[in-house]
Amino acid sequence: MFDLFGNPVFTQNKCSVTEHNGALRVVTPYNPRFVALVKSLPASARRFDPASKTWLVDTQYAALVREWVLQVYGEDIGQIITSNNQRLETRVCDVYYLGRTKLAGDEYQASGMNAQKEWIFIFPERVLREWFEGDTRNTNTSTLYGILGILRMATDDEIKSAYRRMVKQWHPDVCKEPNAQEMFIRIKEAYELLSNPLKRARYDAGLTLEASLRDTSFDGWNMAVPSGYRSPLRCGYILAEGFEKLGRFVVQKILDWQDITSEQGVLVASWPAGAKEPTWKWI
Amino acid sequence: MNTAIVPGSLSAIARQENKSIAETFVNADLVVIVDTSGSMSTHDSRGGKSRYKVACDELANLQANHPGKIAVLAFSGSTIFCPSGVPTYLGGETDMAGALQFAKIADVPGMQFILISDGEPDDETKALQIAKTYRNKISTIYVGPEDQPAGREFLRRLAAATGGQTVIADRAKELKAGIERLYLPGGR
Repeated sequence: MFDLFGNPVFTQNKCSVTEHNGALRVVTPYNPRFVALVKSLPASARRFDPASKTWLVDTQYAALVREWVLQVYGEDIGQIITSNNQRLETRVCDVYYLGRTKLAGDEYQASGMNAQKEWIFIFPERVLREWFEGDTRNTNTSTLYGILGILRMATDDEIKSAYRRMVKQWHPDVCKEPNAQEMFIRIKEAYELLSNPLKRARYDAGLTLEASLRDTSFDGWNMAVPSGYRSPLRCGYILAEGFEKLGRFVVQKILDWQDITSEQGVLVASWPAGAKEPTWKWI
Repeated sequence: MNTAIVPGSLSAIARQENKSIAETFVNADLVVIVDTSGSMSTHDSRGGKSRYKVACDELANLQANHPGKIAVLAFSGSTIFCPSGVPTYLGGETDMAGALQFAKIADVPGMQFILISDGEPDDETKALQIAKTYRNKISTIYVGPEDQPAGREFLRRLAAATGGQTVIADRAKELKAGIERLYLPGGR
């Protein structure tokens, strides 16, 4: 566009798309049509960031976003250069609450909240199960080992100390999760069974037999069990390997899980039924 | 695919108590290993039913009488754990050695084993060798025809090798009585 004297006129673009921490940060004026287009992307490929009031979109959709901006706002923002690399890094995640896993895209994953109550961590179910159960196979049930947060080769002492830790964290007087009572009972049942060598041997045999079913098409063995995995611990300082995606840290491997402690004791997080946010208690 | 769940089977109890199969297995004290190779399809039982069909019916009765106590394995060329209580019909070979190797998973203190077969295994020596490694006794039930003593004799030897007993059920319908005779609920 040129002015009366033939000089080029530069108009301020309303829209911009830049790469930020492995995601496209899409800045546009509000337009319901544009929002609908963004929402047509898979849920795992876009996220609205309330702090900056912008959309974060997976970099693989750069060309599509450029086309949509042109379509809706009539602006050509030019080619969006993306580095397109998901670099693995190791971080300590201060997880103050970890939810139940839900299906997102093609896998189940749980969101984790930091101390500022931002949901900035993603824990795929396979990662949680690998840490808590030493098992990445797809099952709907938690093993008794998983309930206590120990591996199958745990020693008697490890079982005892895991029991003490979990029973304190899930005591209904402390934990306000809707299933705290049920979980408390399950922890006691798990300990009662695993601390008995004969019962443990039978249970281990049962686990192996049960595992053999996963290679067959038989589907009648766990039909009654609800889906959605809850990790036995809800908070902690978690040393994890992962990558940044849409402004969140997607954990690929848990390297260490430490309780959050202070002079007041160990922090226990729970989310009471009907509450808007979790509650925390030092025990 | 077997989706029918026999009342009293491990799956049925697991559903009832909302527990896993593995947890339910803690209370089981009998593993029934059922030969479901090709010859089990012979229709020589009451009402023209096959040995396999009658074996399924008798096993179902037995599980209903002893809820959560019986784990069923089916074998032919391969072995399958059948927590629904119905031994999967597999047809084909009789890899008894493979079945005993598989069932050894459950060879924990206090477990009883009953092997039901109507045929001769593909490898007798190997089957006997594996049976001898069991810490528990394996009892056997022969369900084949009377005029084939070789299979019957082998099952007798296998049971004897582990200190178990053997029962002959000339027709599969006698299975339940045979198992009831060998099985001591709560262990021996």
